[in-house]
Amino acid sequence: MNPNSGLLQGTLEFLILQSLKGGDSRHGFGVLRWIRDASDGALEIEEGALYPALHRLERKGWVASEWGLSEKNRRAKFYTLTRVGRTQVSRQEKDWSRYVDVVGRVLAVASEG
Amino acid sequence: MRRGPRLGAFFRARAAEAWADEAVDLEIRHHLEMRIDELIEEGMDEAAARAKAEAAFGEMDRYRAECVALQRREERKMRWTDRVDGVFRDVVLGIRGLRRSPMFALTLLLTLGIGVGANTAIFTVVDAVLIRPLPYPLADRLVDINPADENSGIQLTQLRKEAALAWRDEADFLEAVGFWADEVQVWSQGETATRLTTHLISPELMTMLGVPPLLGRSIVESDAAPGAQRIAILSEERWSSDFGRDPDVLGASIELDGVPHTIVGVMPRSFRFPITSTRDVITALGVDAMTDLAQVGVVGLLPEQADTAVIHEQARAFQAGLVDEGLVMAAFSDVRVAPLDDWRDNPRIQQALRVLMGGAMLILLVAGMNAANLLLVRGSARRSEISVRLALGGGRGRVVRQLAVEAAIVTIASAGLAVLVSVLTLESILAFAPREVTGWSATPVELTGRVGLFTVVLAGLVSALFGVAPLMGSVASAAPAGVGARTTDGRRTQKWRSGLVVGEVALSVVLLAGAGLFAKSFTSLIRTDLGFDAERVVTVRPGLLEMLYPDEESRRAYFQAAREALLGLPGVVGVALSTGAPPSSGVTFGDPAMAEGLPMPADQPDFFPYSVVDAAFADVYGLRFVAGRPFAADEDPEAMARIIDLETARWLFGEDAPIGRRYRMGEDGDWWTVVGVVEDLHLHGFNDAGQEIEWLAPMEPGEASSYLSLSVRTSGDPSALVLPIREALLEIDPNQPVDDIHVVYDGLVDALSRERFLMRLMGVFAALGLGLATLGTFGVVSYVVRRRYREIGVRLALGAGVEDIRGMVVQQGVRLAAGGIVLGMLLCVPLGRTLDGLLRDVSTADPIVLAATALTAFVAAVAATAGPARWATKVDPVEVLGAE
Repeated sequence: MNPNSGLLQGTLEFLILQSLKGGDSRHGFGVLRWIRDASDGALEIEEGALYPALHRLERKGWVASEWGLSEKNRRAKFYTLTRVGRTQVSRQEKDWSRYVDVVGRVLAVASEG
Repeated sequence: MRRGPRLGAFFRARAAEAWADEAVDLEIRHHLEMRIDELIEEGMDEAAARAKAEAAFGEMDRYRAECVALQRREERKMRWTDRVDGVFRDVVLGIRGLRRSPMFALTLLLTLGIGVGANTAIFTVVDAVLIRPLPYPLADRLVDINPADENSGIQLTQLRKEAALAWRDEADFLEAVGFWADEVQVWSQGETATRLTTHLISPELMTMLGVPPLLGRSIVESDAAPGAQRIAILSEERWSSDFGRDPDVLGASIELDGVPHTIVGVMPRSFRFPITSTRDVITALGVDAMTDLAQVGVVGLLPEQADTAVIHEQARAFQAGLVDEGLVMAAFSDVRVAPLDDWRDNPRIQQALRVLMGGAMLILLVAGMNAANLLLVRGSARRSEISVRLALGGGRGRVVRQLAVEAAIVTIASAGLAVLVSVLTLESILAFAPREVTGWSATPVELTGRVGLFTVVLAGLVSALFGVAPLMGSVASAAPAGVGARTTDGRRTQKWRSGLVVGEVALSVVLLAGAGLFAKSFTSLIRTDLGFDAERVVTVRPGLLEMLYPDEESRRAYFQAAREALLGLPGVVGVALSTGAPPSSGVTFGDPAMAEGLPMPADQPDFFPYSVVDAAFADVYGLRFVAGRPFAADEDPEAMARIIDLETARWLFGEDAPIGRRYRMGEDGDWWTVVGVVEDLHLHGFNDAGQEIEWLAPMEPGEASSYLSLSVRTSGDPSALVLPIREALLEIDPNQPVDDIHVVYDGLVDALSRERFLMRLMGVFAALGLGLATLGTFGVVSYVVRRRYREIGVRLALGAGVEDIRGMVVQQGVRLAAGGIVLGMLLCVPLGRTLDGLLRDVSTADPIVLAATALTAFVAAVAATAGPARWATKVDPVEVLGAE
C-alpha cells in the first residue's frame, strides 16, 4: 500500500475535526463552508463525500450529532466534537506537525545536497 | 450489546433502518437547499443553481448509500449477513448506476448481447454437429462395419445381405451386430399419398443404441420373426406434426407401400439414427423386410475394453473369409471398423464451421472492444469516484467487490440478452442452413445447458476482460484523493479509445472482406455458363411406384399420357424424357474411357456424368451445337450414337475434329460414335468440379424405366407452371405422388445451399462488425468534439468557416478509419488462407473485393462523423467561451 495513503485518507476527517475544534456545533453544509473559507477555496471537495466521512466519525465516536433547526429554520443534523474526538484532534495535530517537520527537513537536506 | 427477544430485535432493527434512510435523505436535502440558496444569492436562477448544486455534490446515490450503511451498521465487525447485505447493496447500486445512464447501458448490453449471442448460436451448431457425444449410452463401443477397397480407398456403407447375416451370426469377436436400411416408401392416408424415407432398424441394433422410447415400446425380437405383424415407430417430429402428440396414436394403423403397419411407439427427438435420418418413421428390419433388400448397413458392438487394432485385424480376416465364400465382391475384401461419428472427420463441414466460429469470434472481439470503449468514456468519472471511495476509507477490497458485482450484473444481463439473440439467430440458421451443416448432427440443434454455460462463461470473460480490467487498473494506481485532485488523464484514455476503434475497424474490415469474397465466389458460381438453358425448364421425376406400375407396359402408358397432358398445358413449349435431369442428373461409374486410335487419357475422372435422352431433349434444354446434330426421333440404338461436349471432345480426341470419331469405355466396351458436339455442358449444376467429362446417349423408343424424368420447357416464368404440372400429373393418377418437381435453375442454386449459407452468414457478421465499428468511431469522434468545444469556439470566433470545422471533425474519423483499414488489410492476408477451398474463381487477395471493402469501411467512418461534425459547427463561441 502507498505509505502516504494513510495520511491522505484521513485528510477529510482531519479537516472536519478541525472545523469542530472550536466547540461549535455545525451541520454538514456548515462544515463545508468552514473548510472552504479556512482554505480560501483552495481545497476542492466533492461535497457529497463529506457525509460518509461525518457518519464514519460518528460511528467511531469522535463526533456526536443531534437534530435541530438551522439558521434558516430548516431541520438539520448538527455535529459536535466528543471528548474522545478532542484527544484525537490533538494527537492528529501532533502527527501532522511531525510529518510537516520531517518533510521539511528532508526537503532541506535535498536542496542542500 | 444487549439483545432483546429475537423478533423484537428484528422489528427494532427494521424501524431503525427506515429511520436511517430518512435521516440521510433529510440531511442531504438540507445540504442541497443551503447550497442552492447560496448560489441564488450569487445571482443564479433557481434551475441553474439546483443543477450546479447537484453537480457539486457528486454521486448522490452512492454517498447516500454509504451513509445509510454506516448508520445501519451497529457492530464494527461485519457478520456474514452484513456481507450478503453489502453485496445486495452493491447490486442495487450497480443496477441504479446503469439505469441512470440508459443509453450507455443499452448500448453496452446490446453490444455484448449481440457479440455473445452470435457466438452462442454458432457454438450450438458446432457443439451439436462436431462435439457433443452421440446420444447412445454405448456410443463409444458402437462401430460401423464398412466394406472398403484397399486400392481405390472407396468405402461402401452397406454390405450384401448374405454377408451381413454372416457378420451377425459368425463374427464372435463382436459382442453384437445389428442392421439398418433406408427405404423410400409411400405413406397413404386416405386420398393422399406421400413419399417418405423410412428407416428400418433391426431389434439387435435398437437394443445396442439403447435409447428408450418416448411413448409405447421400441422394436423387439418378436417383430423380426417371419410373419410377424408389421409395426411402425414414429419420430417425435412426425408424432407432433401428423398426430398432434396424441397418446392414443398407439395401436393405430398406417399404410406404407400399401401394407398396414401398427404404430407401437414414438421415439424422442434426441434419437437420430442413422445420422441422415428424416425423422419420420422407423420400421422393424426383420426376416420379412430383409427378403426385399439386397444390402443393409451393419453396426457392431465392441466388447468392453476392446483393443480396436486387434478387432480391426479380426474384422479384416473375417471379411477375407467372406470373399472366399463368395459372399463379398473381391474388390471389397478390406473392411473399415469406424466409430459411428466418423462423419465428423468430414473436412468440408469442419472447415465451414471453423470459418463461422472464427467469424463469430471476430464479432465478439469487436463487441468487446466497443464495450471497453464505452466503459473508458465513463472511466475518468469512475476513476475519480474510486479515488473518493478510497479516500473515504472504503477499503480496496470493498471497491473491488463493487466492481466485481457491477461486472456480474453486466454479465448476467448481457448473457440473458445473448440467449435471446442466439435463439433468434439459431432460428434463422436452421431455416437457411443446408442439411450438411445442421442436419448432420446426432442430436437436435437446440440450446442446451452446456451451451448456456458457454454463454455465461463467455459473457463473464468478455465483461471481465474489457469491462473491469481497465477499472481494476485504476484501483491499483489511483491515489486516494478525495481532496483537491481531479484525476484527469484524458489524453491517455483518448489514445486507448482511438486504438480500440482502429482495432474495431480493422476486424470489421476482415469480416467485410470475408463476406465480399464469399459473395463474389457465389456470384461467379451461379453465373457459370452451364451450356444449357436452366431458366425456362421444370423437371419432374415421378419415380413410378412398383405396386402401381409393375411392368414396362403400364409405365410406358403413364409417360405417354404425361407427355401429352403436359404438352397440352398453356405455356408449355416442349417436353423431354431422360434418365436423370438437372438438378439431379445421373452418373455412371465405369472403366476408363479411350478414343479409337489414341492412347488412353491418363486423367480419368472418378465417374462419368451421363444421361440417356430422347430427341426432344436438345430443344427443351436449348443445347448449343458447335458441330454435328441432335438425336433423331428414330435413332438406331445399334448405331451407338453419342453427343459429347467440347471439353470431352478435347479430352478424348485432342484437336482432331470429333464428329464421326469413336470411343469406348474399357478394353472390351462397345465403340460409340460421336454424332454431335455441344458447348461445354454442366448438367450437374454449378458446383461440378471434376465432372467435366460428360456425354448424352439416345433413348431407345419406348424406354420406360420407373425413374425417368420429364423436362418441361416453358415459354414464360417456369415457377408459375409447377402447380399446373403437378395437377396435370395427379389427374393421370392420383395415387402416384408427384413431389420431386423443380424449376431447374432454382434447384441448381439450392444445391449450392452450403455456399449460399456461408455467404449469407458472413454477410450478417460483416454487417454487425461494421455497425459496431461505426458506433465506436461515432463515440470517439463525438467525445473529441465535446472535449474540444472550447477550441472550436475559439476557432469560430477567429473566423474559421463552418466547412473548416466540419473538415476537422471528419478528418478525425477518417484518420481512425484509415488506420483500421490498413491494419485490416494486413490481417486479411493470413486470415484469408483459412478460406482456401471454400472459394471458387476468387483469390483471397481479390483486388475488387478488397477495394470495395476499404471503400465501405471508409464511407461508414465518414458517415459516423456526420453527427459530431454537425454539432461542432453549431458551437456558439460566445456561450462556450463565456462558460469558462
